[in-house]
Amino acid sequence: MKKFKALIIAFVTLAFVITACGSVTETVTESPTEETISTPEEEATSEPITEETMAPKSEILIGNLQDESGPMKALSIACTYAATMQVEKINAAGGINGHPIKLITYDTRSDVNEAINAYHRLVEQDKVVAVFGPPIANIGIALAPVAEELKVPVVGLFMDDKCTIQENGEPWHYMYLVQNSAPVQGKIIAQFAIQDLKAKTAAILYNSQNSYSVGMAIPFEEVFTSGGGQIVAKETYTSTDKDFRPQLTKIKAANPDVIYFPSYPVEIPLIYTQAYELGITVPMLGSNSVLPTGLAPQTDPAATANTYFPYGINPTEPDSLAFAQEYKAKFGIEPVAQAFSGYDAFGVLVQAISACGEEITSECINQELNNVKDYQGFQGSITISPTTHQPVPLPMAIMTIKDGKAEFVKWYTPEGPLE
Amino acid sequence: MDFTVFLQQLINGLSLGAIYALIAVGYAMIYNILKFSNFSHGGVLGISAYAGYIAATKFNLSLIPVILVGMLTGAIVAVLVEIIAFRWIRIKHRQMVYYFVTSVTMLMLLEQILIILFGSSFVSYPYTLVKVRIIHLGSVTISVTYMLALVAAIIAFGALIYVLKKTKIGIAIRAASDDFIATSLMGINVNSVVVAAFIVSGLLGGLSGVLYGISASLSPQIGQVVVKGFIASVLGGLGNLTGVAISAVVLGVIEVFLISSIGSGLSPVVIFLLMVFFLLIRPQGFSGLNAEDKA
Repeated sequence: MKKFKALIIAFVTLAFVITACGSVTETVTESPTEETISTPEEEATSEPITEETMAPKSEILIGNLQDESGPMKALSIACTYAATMQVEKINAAGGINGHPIKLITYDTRSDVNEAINAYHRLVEQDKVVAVFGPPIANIGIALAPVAEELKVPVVGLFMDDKCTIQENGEPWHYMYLVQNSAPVQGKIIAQFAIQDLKAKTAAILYNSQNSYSVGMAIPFEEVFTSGGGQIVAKETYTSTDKDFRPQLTKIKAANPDVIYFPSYPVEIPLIYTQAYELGITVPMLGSNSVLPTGLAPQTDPAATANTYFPYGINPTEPDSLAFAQEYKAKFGIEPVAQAFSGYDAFGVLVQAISACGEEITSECINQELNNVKDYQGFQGSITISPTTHQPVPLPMAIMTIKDGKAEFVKWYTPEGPLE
Repeated sequence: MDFTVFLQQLINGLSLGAIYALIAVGYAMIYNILKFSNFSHGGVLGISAYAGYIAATKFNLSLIPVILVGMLTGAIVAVLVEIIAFRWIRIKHRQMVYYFVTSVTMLMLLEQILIILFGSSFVSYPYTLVKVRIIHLGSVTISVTYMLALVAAIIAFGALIYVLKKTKIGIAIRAASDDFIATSLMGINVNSVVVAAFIVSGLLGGLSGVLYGISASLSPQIGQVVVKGFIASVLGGLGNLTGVAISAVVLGVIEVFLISSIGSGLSPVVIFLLMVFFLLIRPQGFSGLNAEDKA
């Protein structure tokens, strides 16, 4: 009996130990964590070094909270890669005002509690001066009140308004978004549906448990209906759903002109495929997360023959092509939109740090983030609004997929096509 | 509801139910013999689904070989689970709760192995595995992927009934499910019978893992779909494989109609309430067998 109890206890213990090992392994192996890059001073070894030249300036520690192994890995890890590229370039050029940057990455696995714990650890243990955040709205919402308390700014791609704006209309003082918010993206694709696709009716399929999805679905509905359109079906799903055919069957029966589905990467191939299998042929309007999972090998090109989605950049522009080439050479994969906008976001943070001169504190960086104006990034000229802590709305590329490849269609703003 | 929509939802439900049936029958196989809820079946399903994924992506195998790889993996893993985790409990005649704790632990263990090997992100089978995807029948369409599950479930179930009724090992399995101790006293090697049952269960787990993986996507938590098998088994009466299979198909249909009427958020609540209600008023399930000990 004793032996047997011991066996049972051993099994349970083994399971827990492996659980613990699992998380540690993910964090260490998959992320380019703790980018410690030597300063030019350290590399200059041939010359006799005086006391004055030898003293390297202190490192600027920046936290990086990304999903490196969870369901949003495809998009979140692009932010880590983009930040890594910036860190390497800045350090190779002598750092910020002579201070090298060190990036400390923690894997949140898209888990809100993991993210909050990691933020505490970054601030209280690692003593970072700022944090680079993930493209995950649920995490942004959870971090906002914590950042308000610990007073270390978070700059990221979390798109829901609630990540940067409080219920009383004031901005969360330490949260900054550096791409169009979910409502702006929802409005842009709604305008495209009305003005270019001449849609009169639309159906919406969205995740009622996800801020990103809800944050786009509601503004889409508002703009579409205020533009004279009618929502003929509005179906929801939950984060664990894999079978969307019951909702899509109802949507098909409602016979909409377009179907809007602001979804996460894991859901996108399933929704495209199941809509195709149900014989749905009307335009499928997606979100800025359509790439890369909306392409092969995850999604059959036949299922994406009639689709449009907003995207932060135009990947066919020379600057974007050059970045894509550099990114692919370094990481072996094509960059998604979050790599470009992540590069911009990290650049905005670096600009704010630079503006602080030798007084590099979280408070100073936070103050300077409010002053960011006309930062030239891949997404255009970025000005952070002090009243929303979001960019003044940027135009977005409307993209389509032809024969399994993403193609640029035209630029759009929340008001209509960019002339 | 429009008749075409009704028909389409019915087909959606039947095809989803077919996958649930494969899961539920594999799960109920073990209940039949050892009289415990084998949640580790979910882990077997998960490992097999990933084995099929590797066969499809790394070795570029086509559908049938991928399914066979999944089934073979399922059988091997199920037998290993039996030898490593359950055999000692059986030999030492321990209480049923040990089986329950061990089966849940094995599910967690197998899930964690998948997380270590593949990360907790999702992956998808390449779409090229099932090229032609739709069959049009008048105004309704049928997904080939789900049709495959339906056909596979019918073939697997037919083969299972044949094995159980016409082969020596099948008869031994049935005898053991009726009275384990008496079977042992009759000179039948019960270890072989149990291993045979785990092989059959693993084959079904592997088949359902690959088919579910193709129609959904893969994540280390994919094995948690075994809960649907558990619900179907409770509704069907855990001891009766035909009852379990029919209940699983009915569960798929109910789920689809619930999602389309009350939404996917509330649907699981109603299904679990239905299960509790069933346990209260008819614990023996539809089929009326094996009322007790549904741990």
